[in-house]
Amino acid sequence: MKPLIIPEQGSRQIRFAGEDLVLLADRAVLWPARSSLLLSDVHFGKSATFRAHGIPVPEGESQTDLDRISQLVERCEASHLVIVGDFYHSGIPLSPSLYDALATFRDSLNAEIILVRGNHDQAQHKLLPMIDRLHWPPFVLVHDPAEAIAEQPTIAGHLHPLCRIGRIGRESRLPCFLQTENLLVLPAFGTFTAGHIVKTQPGQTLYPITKQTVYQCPH
Amino acid sequence: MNTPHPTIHRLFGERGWKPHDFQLETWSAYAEGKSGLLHAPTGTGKTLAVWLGPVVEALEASGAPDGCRVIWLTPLRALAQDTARSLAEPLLALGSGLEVAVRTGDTSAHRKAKLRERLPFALVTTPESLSLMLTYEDSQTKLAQLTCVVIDEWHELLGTKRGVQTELCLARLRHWAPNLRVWGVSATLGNLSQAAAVLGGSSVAEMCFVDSTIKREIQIRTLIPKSVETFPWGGHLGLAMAGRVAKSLHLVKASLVFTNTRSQSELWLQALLEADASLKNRIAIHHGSLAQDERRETEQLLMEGKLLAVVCTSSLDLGLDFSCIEQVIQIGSPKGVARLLQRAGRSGHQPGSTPRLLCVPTNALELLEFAAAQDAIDAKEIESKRPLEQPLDVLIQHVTSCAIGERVAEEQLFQEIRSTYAYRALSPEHWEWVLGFISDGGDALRAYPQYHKVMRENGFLHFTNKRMIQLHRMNIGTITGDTAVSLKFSNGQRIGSVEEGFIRKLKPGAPFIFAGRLLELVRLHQLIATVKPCQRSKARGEIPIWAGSKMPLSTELSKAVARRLDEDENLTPRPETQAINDLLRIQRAWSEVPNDRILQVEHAHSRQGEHLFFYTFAGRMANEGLGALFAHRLSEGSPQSIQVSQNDYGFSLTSSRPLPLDESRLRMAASSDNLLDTLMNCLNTHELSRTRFREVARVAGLIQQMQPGDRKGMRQVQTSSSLLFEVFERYDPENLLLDQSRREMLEGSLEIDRLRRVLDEISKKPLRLIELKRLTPMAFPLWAERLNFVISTQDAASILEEMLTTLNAEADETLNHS
Repeated sequence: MKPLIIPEQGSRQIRFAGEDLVLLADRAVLWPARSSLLLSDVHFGKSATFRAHGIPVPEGESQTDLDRISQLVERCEASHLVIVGDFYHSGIPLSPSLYDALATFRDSLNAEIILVRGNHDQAQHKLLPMIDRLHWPPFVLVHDPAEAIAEQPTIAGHLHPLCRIGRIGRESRLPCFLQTENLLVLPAFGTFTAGHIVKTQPGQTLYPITKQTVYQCPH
Repeated sequence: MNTPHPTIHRLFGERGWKPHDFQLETWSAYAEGKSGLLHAPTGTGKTLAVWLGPVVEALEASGAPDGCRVIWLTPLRALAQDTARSLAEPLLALGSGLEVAVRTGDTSAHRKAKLRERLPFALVTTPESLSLMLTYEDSQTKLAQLTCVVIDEWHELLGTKRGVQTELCLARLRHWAPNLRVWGVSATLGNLSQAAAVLGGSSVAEMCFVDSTIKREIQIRTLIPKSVETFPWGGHLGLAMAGRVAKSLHLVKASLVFTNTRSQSELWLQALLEADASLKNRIAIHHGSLAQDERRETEQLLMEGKLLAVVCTSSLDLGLDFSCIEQVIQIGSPKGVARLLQRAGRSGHQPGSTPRLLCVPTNALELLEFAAAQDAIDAKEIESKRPLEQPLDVLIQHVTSCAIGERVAEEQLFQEIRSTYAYRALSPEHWEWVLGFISDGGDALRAYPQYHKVMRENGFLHFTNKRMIQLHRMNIGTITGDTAVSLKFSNGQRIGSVEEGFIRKLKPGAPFIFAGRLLELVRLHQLIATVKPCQRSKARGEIPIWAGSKMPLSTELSKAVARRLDEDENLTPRPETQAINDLLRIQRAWSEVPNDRILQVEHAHSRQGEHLFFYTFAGRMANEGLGALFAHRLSEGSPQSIQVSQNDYGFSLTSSRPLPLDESRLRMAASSDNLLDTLMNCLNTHELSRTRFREVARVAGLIQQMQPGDRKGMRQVQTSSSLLFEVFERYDPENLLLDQSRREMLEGSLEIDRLRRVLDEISKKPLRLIELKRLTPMAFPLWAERLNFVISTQDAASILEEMLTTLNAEADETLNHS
């Protein structure tokens, strides 16, 4: 097993189902024991989908997000990259430039890419093979937390969790990780993604993310 | 003056009416083929003045006219049915067989389909509905016979995006029917000739201006409080007069009680009911957050004479003509002269009666504002409504609409759009940018891959994608709703909406007052709050607070106030100013009374530190910007934190360290060099622009409010405006819509033009610096305003009480000695 590398700045280490995980401020999780980087909900092609519907939104976030992933893989020296669903935004064919950028990314990345299918991932995208769920003891990685199997520690995405921080009236909404006894939900990784406020419930820990740092609440 | 047309003569003769001069003038101008603007008070026959021109013309023509000849635009769709009825009435009396129909967002799909088959002689509609109609392929043919467009209540549309939308529609219609005449009807405005010019655009050589000489007297009276506080603070003074207001309700058939905010209307409904139990079930409430049905019911009850009064907000500034209203009561300062006139004009519609206005001040300075408002009415100094300049979001929507159906030539459309007032100076560069934005994303540098909406071929625009057209049509218009939470009973009955911020503060079970009812929150799920009547007898409910309720004192009213303070001898003595004599005596004894010929600055110490008070009479919004500007510049070079507070009269700076007092430093702080950059630097302008972007993005079609059904695939293009704002800032920072949001923010949240003007005036005024021993009556409200922000409410209350006790004791001494 590889030694635990120095965590990224602003990251936070947690225990989940007996494993050490590092929550990264760049909205991804490092699983040192498997030397794997886990992230979810990138939504490639979202701005293109808008444009295809006649809504002029600039291009640009795809390259930003690809660069963010490559840099993370490199910094963490990860051997595996697991995307827990919604790699694509819709079934609309990718633009030639985005297709090329994704293909280059796939071929040049120094890690094996595992793509778990999300509800947005349509079968017509053939750049990468997709699987419905990944059993990686002790975890199951599946896109929708609703598909978690009871008693099985699950890592999922789909919810785009956000939490409110600050005084009422001038609070801000921050993306967050969400952890319960048997579930860890990742925030949406994509730059052009919004989210939904998580209702606070007992037995649940939120890890809000500011630009550089992952916090924990309740402490 | 000429004689009326025989048809009109007959119509009037049968009823024993005599035409007014302004009616004769309008009829003959119309007959000569002129367009124009009519300025006349309500209830004087202005509808007949603009309506009978085209009617007579149609009756004179040989054979029954076919097709639509008149479009009647109304700003309020609730008014459309009523208007159609009053237009149909003379047609019936003349036995003409001409028809009038209504088409608004409320019209049923069946009716709309019928109207698509055949249009009546006259169509009553709204700007939104008209814009939509213009996108149908056969509209050009169907409207080619149009002779007249009437824009009713033009003062309501002028200065808004709906007004610009109207200008663009008019330009289109003029292109289709070159002999079209356009007649606007407007209430009193400071810039009536400009209002006319905006309607005419550049295609009308000369707009006729018809001014009714009828003057409607208004009886104005102010309730003078029994005792007036010397140190005005808060709005509690008003509620003490609830008993007297209740009494006045019994003296007339029916009253409208106007408040400035929705919260205040809830508060006053409670206060009136507590003051006079006999009012139970005889007064009701009306404001913009109540469900449509509730509002209609209240209006109906009022009309039927079952209500003694309705407590309302600007929701009833416009609307149905309630002939039963004999009195209007204005709670608190109206903040503007035109608003006060408009509201007063809601009463006295019975023949032979005059509008009656009862003013109820909620603090001592509002006595001054009521006196000043009457001065301004006498001097005819009414606010202007500045027309909007080149809002690109509206243009984007309009050009997209124009390209639906027939191909349209770019150059012809450009000329047509430049014929409107709003876009008279539209540059070819901006035009090209708009065309790029709606077609393929623009020039090579910014081209958006996969984006093709409107096709551009050989100088022609064409929009053909059926699905995109449907989406576009559903989102035509410039009215944006705000994020509100619906209030519902558990049986699903909707009672209205409140702002999310308020309801989220409440815990389930917490009591609050809404629509005059004590309710408690059951649960809040997404944007629906389920509530039930609160049964606990002792519970005191919170009153919801709606944001954006503090409007600034208008320039005209500010000037009138300053003139009052200056004790201009030409002004009529008024009881309101008598009542604040003591306040002014103390102000004079401890300092001077500020006016707008000089810039008065007061300097004082208190336990909180050093204070500077500036009296600019710039209105709350501009004062906020001025305060931030001064604080920023005076703290430059010596890092110290300066707190700012403001009201309509001025602003104050507070610091724990000494503040510079020399004139040159103060003059430098008031310089207008680098104004925009400095303001952007010291205010949270980025957040404000982001908020503004929401509306801009909606109008420009970047976010959809309405979507066809729950169509699959549409969920994929839902997003929030703030996310889009970030994406544009990052990946397309030159986008002109960002620039527009910034401009709208500067004007809408800071009154930047006014702020500039005030700085310019300050540079020419002498400065009068006065050292204070204690806070003056004019400084006290600024001092107290600040307290509210920095200290918890409980502490603030006790500090306030303590200060008030001291000041009042000293004031008594001063008064007794003089």
